Amino acid sequence: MLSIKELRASVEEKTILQGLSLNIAPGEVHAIMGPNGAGKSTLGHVLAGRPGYEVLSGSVAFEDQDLLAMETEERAQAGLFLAFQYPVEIPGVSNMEFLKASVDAVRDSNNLEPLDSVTFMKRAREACKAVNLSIDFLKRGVNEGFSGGEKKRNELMQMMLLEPKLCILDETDSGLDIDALQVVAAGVNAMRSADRSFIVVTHYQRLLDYIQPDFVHVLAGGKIVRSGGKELALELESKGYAWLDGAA
Amino acid sequence: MIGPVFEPAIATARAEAPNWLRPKIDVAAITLAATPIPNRKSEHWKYAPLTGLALPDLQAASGPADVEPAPDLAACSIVVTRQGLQFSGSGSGQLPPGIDIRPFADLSEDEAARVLDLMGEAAKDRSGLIATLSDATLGLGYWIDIADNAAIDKPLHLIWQDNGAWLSVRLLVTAGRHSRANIIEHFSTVSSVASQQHSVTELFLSAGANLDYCRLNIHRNTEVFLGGVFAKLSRDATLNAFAYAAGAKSCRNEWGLTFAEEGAHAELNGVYLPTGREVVDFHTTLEHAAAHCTSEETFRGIIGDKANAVFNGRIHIHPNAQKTVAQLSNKNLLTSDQAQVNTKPELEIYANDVQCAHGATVAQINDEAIHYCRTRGIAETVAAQLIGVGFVVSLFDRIAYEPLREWLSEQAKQRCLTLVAGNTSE
Repeated sequence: MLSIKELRASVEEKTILQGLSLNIAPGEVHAIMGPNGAGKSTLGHVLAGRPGYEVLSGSVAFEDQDLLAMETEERAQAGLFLAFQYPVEIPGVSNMEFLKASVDAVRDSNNLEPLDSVTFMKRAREACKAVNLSIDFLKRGVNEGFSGGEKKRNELMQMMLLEPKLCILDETDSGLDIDALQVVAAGVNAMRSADRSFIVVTHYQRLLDYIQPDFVHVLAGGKIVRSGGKELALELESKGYAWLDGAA
Repeated sequence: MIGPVFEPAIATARAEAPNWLRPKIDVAAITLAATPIPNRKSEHWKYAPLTGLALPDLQAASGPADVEPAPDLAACSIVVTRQGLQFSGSGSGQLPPGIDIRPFADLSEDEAARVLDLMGEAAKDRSGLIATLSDATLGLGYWIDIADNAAIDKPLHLIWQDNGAWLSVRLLVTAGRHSRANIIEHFSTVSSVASQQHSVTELFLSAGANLDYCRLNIHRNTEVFLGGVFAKLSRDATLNAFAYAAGAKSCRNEWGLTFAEEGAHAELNGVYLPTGREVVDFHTTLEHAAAHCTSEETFRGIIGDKANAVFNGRIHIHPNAQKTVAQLSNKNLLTSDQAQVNTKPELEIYANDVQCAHGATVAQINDEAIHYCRTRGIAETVAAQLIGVGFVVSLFDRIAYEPLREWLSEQAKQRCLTLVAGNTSE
């Protein structure tokens, strides 16, 4: 699904990723943990093609395509989805209109007809319900005046409608109360399937109580310094990241 | 002096106007002859001066271009040309009861006296160039009279059309006591070569009248438009006005609303979407001359390419206009680094117990929002269009009449696509 080799990337001339490698097979859930400033969010942004994030060397293959050669929207159309840590507000553009444009663009790139409005409406309502957002949110401006938790649930709703192959959740758990956390986790778990993979970036082990990862990686100093199973997350929780410095 | 520029139009007006109008034309022509051409040193014209303006040659008029037919707004549509009125579209071909439209040339002596009395009355605090020009070139004049207590649901959609080189029109609307009506005035470009339009509309709202008025300026870039809307609101009258401007080489509209008696309310909203080398100029003045009146004015524009927008919004609160509530907002989005906007809200307050707010902003399309859309598979130009439409769409929501709201939103949407095309890359 995704193969990252020796990726080095910089932001504002500061090298953040220092030779990161990671392989993700279809159906796998990988958790990425690590201290502040380790490059967790940078990884998500580089994969999504955010302007200002410069790849210095290395390669990223997404289903045998050169991801780094693709435009941001092409990556999304190919099935990559980044749930933002800080979703952007777009005043005046209704969530509904935005979602329709998004779903239609992705379908169009896959040579599918746009969804008719009745079918789309039905799916959008279901997605709202699944993330516990009132359907009024479809009429509101994209993220406009949403609370932190509502924005995160809105990201998840988009993910459900777009049905991506690779979902990257950038600290989707931060700022969520325990109920919202469970809603998000249930949403992710419902989407797990043999051909869909997840990268779950998080600070806390707590989310992983609800989303059971297949692998846990520790990202520090711009590369993965340790990988293991879900027990690694528990170990980190009890010992902190400092313990790794000695081990590395 | 600007007079000679309009000489052929003045001559035509003299030849075509009914006798009772000629003295008015003559007086205005004299004033015009002594009026300097507004240039960059003229305060109210400095961002869109008239230097170099010429009246297109009537001989060069090329006849109709491939004109888009006027939209069917399920209204009572009337096409007005030099030849007269013509019903068009799916309307019933007749006016709803309670509303009457008559050319100035057909008025009886008494009616003419009344019209003459009213003409210029709503514009009198601003007897500037636009009003004078309209008087001097007054060829085509119509009077719409709405009866007292008339409740007219179907809008009157007035489409001004002329395939000559210029068109000078005057509209006078008298809305009777406690009447309710909706008038859409629609200006477009018919000629395929340089053309010019002059238009002044005066609205007189009697006590308790409720009028929706929309002024559409949808032109080609061969058109120069000079116009104004002046309204006088009596006690408890309500005016809901909307302005839309796009496409003309240059389009200036002056709005003057006078709150003459207590309890009147006006909402004035506008959207302008110039691109290319177009110039759009709105000068608005709200004269709060009576107590307990309220006004809410919001203009938004998206300016692309090398276009230039001017917004000057003045609110004047007279000493006796206590308890006035007036709000003014102007927001602009520039989609190219050569686009320009000159915005200036002006408050002049001479009463001490009023609430007034004004604000103006100029911004660019947010790169983060574009990126966010792209991560959802939406191409950059589509994203910019979405964001552009989002910027102005809330104003269209204030148009109560649905067919107009839908049609105009769609126009704006198409227009936004041109406005953002090719201008979004870093």
